[in-house]
Amino acid sequence: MNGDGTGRPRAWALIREALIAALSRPVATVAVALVTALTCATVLLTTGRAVRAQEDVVSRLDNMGTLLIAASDGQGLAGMMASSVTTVGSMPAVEWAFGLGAAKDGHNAALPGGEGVAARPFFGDLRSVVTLNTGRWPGPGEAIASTTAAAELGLIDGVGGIAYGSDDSDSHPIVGTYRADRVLKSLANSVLIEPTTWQAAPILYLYAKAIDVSWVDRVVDAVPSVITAATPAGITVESPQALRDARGQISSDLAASSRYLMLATLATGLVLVAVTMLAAVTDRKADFGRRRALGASRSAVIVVVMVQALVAALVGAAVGVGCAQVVNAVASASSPSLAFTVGLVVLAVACAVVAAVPPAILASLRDPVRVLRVP
Amino acid sequence: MRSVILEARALAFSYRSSDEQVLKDVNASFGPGEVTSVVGPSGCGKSTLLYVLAGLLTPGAGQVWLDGSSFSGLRDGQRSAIRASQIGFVFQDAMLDPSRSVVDNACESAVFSGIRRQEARPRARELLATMGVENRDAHRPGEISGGQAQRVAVCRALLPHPRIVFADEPTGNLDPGSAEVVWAALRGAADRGCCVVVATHSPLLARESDQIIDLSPHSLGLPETTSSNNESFPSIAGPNHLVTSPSDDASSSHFATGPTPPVGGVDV
Repeated sequence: MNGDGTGRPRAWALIREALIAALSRPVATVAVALVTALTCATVLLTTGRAVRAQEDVVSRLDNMGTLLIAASDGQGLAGMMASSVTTVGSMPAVEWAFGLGAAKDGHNAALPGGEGVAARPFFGDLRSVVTLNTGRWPGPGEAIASTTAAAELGLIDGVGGIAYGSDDSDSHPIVGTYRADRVLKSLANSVLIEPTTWQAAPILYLYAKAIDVSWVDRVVDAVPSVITAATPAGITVESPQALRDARGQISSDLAASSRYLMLATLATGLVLVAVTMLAAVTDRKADFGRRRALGASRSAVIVVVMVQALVAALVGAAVGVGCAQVVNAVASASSPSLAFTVGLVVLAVACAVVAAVPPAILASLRDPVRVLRVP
Repeated sequence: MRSVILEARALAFSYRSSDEQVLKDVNASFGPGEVTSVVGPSGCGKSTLLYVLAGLLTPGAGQVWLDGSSFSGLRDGQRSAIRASQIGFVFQDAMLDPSRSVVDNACESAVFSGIRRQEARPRARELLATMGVENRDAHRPGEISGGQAQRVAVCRALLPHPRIVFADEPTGNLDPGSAEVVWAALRGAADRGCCVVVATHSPLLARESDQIIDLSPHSLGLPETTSSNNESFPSIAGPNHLVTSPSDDASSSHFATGPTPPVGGVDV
């Protein structure tokens, strides 16, 4: 005759034991879930909002040009070629590159002698630097005017034509208007013309946006070596260092205060979960004693306690995130990003599981004989 | 030749180092198909001996041998694995989980022995039927009697088909009918080759056993305590040194109410 089992519990059987324990001792389970829910909700409604505000501030600063690198040929003598836009734009650390040629004084083609605006050829993807307001994006040989320039030109519905040159020999149809509400706010009073051929055309300004603030310096260093120009020394490459420093300081200060708040909340949650689980395993000492006598190893007891905490924490985290979303929606406040929320859930659940370790070990070390002996 | 599964060699144990030893120089062997009763007055160490033999307590001296290898010298995890797969335990109190149904309680030992739930549940229902509590399988422990709870506890112990079953006063709080069912189940397990060790106060159960271990002080050579309730045991030898078989005059039904058959103790 021999025992039928292996003496090693199946993983799923232990998880099932933990789930049964979680359901059969609802007070401890609900308490752990509640603590985790409060932790998540508190962090999302405090740190989460602060992080969102920080992201907004940084985004605004980036919109002001912290990521922008400008290469300019101020004298117009360096011979910077439009092909440089393609070269710089293909750098891995560059999100987009955009070139501008020399400005000419243009006017409404239908009103000779009318108000003049700056008309420039552009090189690169216009969609990256301005927002379409009316009409459509221009094709080769067509132009698009800023809303201000369109008003100055007296265009109805932003559609018409622009002419320039000594005898108005050059003219282009204007097919729409744009808003210069992004990083290149200097385009707010221009008409931009898409050239028919542009690889060999000269440009005066080349703008590039780095993918991240940490790459700006390296892009600044690399741009002069990849630009095609007759006289590279005549080109000045700049980035707004002061603005970038300010961005770093603000970001760092906001992150530090958010971090301390979140750590304090998580630490409080961890202590509360530990105390709750400690009370739960103390209350259940007969259960653990019986299981140990029936052959449960210490590690099996630890797994049962920790899975119970894990399940409760997962449920609590879901409830906490849901509640915080509802509160944010009601208060019309912006919610933290998905990445922040997921990271918080992982952290809060990990805290609950870690907090359950000491009570689990305590339960596993409890002498089963003390429980089995009936006084 | 008698085969031996479990053996106690010169076992000694005390709960605290400063205390007098509860067990002192206990030697005994247990074979398959045998029922052994551990008898003696309260506090003499019957339950302690079971806990030491089952690996729940580590002896202060001596060793427990299982299949010729040291069992008490194994690490806790190894002892737990053996306890889960080869040892069944019936506690003095049924110790059922109040939050689970009767059938789930009967299956609890299967969790730790690694038996699949799909396999354990039919087996549990079969055992519950054998014990006469099959119609209570969906009830909670709070909804059944103490006698029925103890029968469920026996089912839990027998479910993994253990090689050894320890029962700590399994009939102590039961009515004669329930006691008879529990005893029959333990006896039946022994008949199927299981080694059954029972700690009991009942001289009647002891008489049904194949061997008896008496932990009474007098059997240790200590002055015999005057017994006012005639609760002495038949054909009992000094337990710590000698184990004997009970007398042959055991009555057919020891659970029937009525006068206790005359028995007499034997001093060492």
